[in-house]
Amino acid sequence: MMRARQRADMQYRLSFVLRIVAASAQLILEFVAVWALVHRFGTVGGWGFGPLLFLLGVSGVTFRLSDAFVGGSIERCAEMIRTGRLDVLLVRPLGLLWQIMGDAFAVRRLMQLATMVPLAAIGVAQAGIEWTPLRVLILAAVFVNATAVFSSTFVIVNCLSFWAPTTQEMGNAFTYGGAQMAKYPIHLFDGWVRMISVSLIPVGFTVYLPSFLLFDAPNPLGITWWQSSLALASGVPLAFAASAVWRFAVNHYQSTGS
Amino acid sequence: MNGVAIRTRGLRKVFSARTKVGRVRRERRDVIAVEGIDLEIETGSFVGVIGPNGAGKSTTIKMLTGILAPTSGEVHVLGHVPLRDRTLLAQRIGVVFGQRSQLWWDLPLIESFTLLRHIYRVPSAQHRATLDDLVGQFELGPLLDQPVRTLSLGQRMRAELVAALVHRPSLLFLDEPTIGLDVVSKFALRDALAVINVEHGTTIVLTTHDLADVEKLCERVVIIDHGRTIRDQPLSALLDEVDSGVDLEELVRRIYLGHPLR
Repeated sequence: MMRARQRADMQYRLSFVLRIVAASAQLILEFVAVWALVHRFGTVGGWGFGPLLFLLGVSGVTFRLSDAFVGGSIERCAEMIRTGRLDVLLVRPLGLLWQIMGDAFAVRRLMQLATMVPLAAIGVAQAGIEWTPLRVLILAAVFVNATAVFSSTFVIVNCLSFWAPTTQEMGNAFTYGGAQMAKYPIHLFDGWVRMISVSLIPVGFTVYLPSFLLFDAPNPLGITWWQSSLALASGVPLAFAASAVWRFAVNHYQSTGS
Repeated sequence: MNGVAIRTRGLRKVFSARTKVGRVRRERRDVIAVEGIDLEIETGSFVGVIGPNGAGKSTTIKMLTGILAPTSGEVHVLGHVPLRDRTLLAQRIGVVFGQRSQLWWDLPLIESFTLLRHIYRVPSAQHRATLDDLVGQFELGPLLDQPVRTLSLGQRMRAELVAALVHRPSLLFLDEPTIGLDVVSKFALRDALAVINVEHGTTIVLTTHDLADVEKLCERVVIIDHGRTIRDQPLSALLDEVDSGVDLEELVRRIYLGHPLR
């Protein structure tokens, strides 16, 4: 189904080319933004170029990965409810979530993902990680966990559209807004914003908290190794929660007229 | 064999809607869409479901296909509880919604059929045989390489039907399939439906506003109004209730309006 979606997109070739241009421009801009910050201020919250790029790149890759396969598709859910498209998907012998992922899949999101990969690669290389076999595993776990956290957030937030089909913008504040927060060391934020980042919008769990297991960076909040480890596993309960909320939402789907 | 394809007992659906009563205050109000429907449809039959707009026809179909959860009551379709066994049931039923498409708009028609083959996991050889058969029957041969968006409504409806049949379902739901079709397309569609019902023994449940559909195709008529079944009888028995000069359209009008039939 994803391939079909892609083939359908390719019917409009010029816009495909333009998207590649836009995605490349975005890559350069993101990189320059961090470089400029560090060049001007030396560090951000005590974090230098490497660790910052690590945050930006790893959160970028995992967020874009979630966006490409889950978020970008599931946010079309509201539209699918309004147009009745969801009814069509519901009478097919596949899980609804998988179908939505395939049905609304867009290649351009893969390009946005691709632009983040070099950033993450440079970030991982520059963050000053002293490599051990365990740290390789931890790094892999960071990627998996962050993707799970972002994807689950996408699912939960978009379930709202089953009751209020126009809550899209609010949902975006959580997901895309959250991704913006994930780019910076959480200790930059104070008080309630910091609280939000580990509760309502759990971006703190994605890269920041686990990163202390990988490299030594200034740690003004005194995050302990077990807090980092717990954060590294936060995707599991979140994924369960997301699937429960999703099933609840689908069973309370009200469809549209005719 | 005369098994039961569909059985419902006291099927109800209540939507809760919020209506504005004042500047910000909203009142929760229950809207009863389906109010206790008992239905029993035999395997292999061709049943027409009619009723005025908003009578609860579509809601009933959606509960039968597992799209909507009933508020209360029992439903069994091909032995499955639709909502619980949604994907299992989907493998065995076909659904055509007259107003929404299940084809891929920008791709050539043939690719929609190929995609559906994967979705329903139909073995390749079997798929080719079924498709040859259906494409011939619905005269879609010359259209297979055209993008779906370039098809006329009549052509597209025929394609939708083939799409709903590629996995050879034993039960077919058609929700207003003839809506907006010209006379020629309508006749072609009806002929094809009759063949599917007879040749393959496919049980067909059809909702429509075009009473000629019912007259030409259905052996049994279910009339739903205000969420209740107000008639459920063989077409011939229904026609017997009026003098021979009165046609089905006039008969149904009288029933909707609650006028005496004779």
